[in-house]
Amino acid sequence: MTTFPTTALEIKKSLQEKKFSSVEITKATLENIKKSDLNAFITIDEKGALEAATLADKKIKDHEKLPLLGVPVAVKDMILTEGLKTTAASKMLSDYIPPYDATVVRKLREAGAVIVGKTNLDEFAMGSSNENSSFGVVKNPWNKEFVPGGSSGGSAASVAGRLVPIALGTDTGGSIRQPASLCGITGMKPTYGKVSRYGAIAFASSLDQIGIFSQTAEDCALALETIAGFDPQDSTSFDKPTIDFEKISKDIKGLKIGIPKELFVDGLENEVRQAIEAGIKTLESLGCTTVPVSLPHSEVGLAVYYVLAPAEAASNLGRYDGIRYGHRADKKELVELYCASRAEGFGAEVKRRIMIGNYVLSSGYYDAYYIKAQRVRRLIQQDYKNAFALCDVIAAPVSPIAGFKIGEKSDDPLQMYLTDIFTIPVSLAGLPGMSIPCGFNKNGLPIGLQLIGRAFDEETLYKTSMAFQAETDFHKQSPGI
Amino acid sequence: MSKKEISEDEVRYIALLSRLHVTDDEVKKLQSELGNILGHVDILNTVDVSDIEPLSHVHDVCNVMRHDIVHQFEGEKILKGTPDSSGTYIRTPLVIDGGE
Repeated sequence: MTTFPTTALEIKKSLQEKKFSSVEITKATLENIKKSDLNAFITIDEKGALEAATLADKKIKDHEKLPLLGVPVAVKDMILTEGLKTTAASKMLSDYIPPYDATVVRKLREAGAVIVGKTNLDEFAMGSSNENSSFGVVKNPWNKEFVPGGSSGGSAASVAGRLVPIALGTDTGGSIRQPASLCGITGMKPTYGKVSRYGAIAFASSLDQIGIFSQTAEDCALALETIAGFDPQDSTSFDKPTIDFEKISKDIKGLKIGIPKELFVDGLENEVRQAIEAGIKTLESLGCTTVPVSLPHSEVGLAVYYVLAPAEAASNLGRYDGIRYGHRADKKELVELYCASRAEGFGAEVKRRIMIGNYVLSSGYYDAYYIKAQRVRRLIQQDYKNAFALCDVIAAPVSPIAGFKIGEKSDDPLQMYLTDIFTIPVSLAGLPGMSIPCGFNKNGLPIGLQLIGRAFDEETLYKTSMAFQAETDFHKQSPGI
Repeated sequence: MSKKEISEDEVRYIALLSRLHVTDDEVKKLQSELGNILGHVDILNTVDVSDIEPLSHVHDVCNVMRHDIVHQFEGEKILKGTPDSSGTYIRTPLVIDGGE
């Protein structure tokens, strides 16, 4: 059996050297996805993928150079693809065919990428385990009894299971970093505004960002810089110079790593703590110095998030009225039609968050919850500003636990929310956060180290993670399926 | 962390505001779940926020203006995503009957 390369850079090299064609690699990718039992994909686009691969092969023959030419990529089913079903893993949008491409999808196509399909997720990106999907649970490739994390569980499982080298995800409170940690791969949520959100189905607009899953930090940098940049269609996106990862020095001598004392709390599993501490030691051995920093408002981050994110979601999801999009119930009276369409179309977690959102926004509670949370959000941002006066990167856990079993937390929403305590404050501050593999627990489940950077300083995160991965081989371990 | 008391009527009222039909069982379940989550959220009251301005955007941003140019979508493409259509229109059930 032919063995194909598994990272984007290796695939690019093999295509340039004419070892393989993009059509060959794409066909093998599609076969593997179809054979896989991870349930990572909602839609496979065989026809579109083979057309894109054929075009890529022609461009390679014509000596065209593009960042992702001929490389298979998967896209979270929260991101619109023109003419290709986009569901948000919801019954509400189970047959929705978007009329346009998200900006990131257009950029992927322009960069020569071959989009092979749409990955599974928690419905409307609300969840931390991928159990809230109306298309079924996704399995963790390292142990199929365990969740892959969420909400971008399908994207994470598809990269960890070596089905695709790169997958796009979205991260509102940890939905890229947490599944990257649970699946033992590299995941980056960029700075809010680095990547256009045009065509990403809106969940909480002041927090949502599109980012990357990959095996290596190099692939992550390559893909992220390809989709980044100002977009006139998203007025919250920023124009920043593109970073060429090949020119980044891997020398991190003298880099100051901030260690926040508040993030090493009681709920942190011992094995996770040990892996994080070992990861920090590795960074020290590469010449970094560590400095203690303080993020005193981290413990209230979860509370801020569970006011603001549901409030924004309640507003954003108001558009699903059964008239213009998706599912429509068979009712005659107008309010009845709205109420029944939404009750039938949305799953339990989505309903719960809409209810929380409308509760905190409702008359009499608005100041006590919503405005209050926005004030505390400023304090959280200020904590990070103070910390970054002392350091260049902050190192922290991604998830307090290495993983949990399918069904283990699905009956207790609050316990599920608590798995995101280390990723949420970073989202509230709008900062870039990355998860890189830094170890395994005794049951063989991977553990991720979170690296947090200053706003728009993805370069330091690339540099740190590349140096770390040059020294360690956790990211090279594969679940062997 | 204490649970917040929310009445069944409050749950039904918020469900109506949310345009969500809820069954009696769902009301009971939501009453308990919302109580737990909002109970946790009450931790915000331990933070002193006097003199702190609310934060609605993480970066210093100003209004972004653009020219008012119409970009026409092909109607057919848009209508593919709607539950029911006729010609170039979205079709809805009759909401105002003309009287008997």
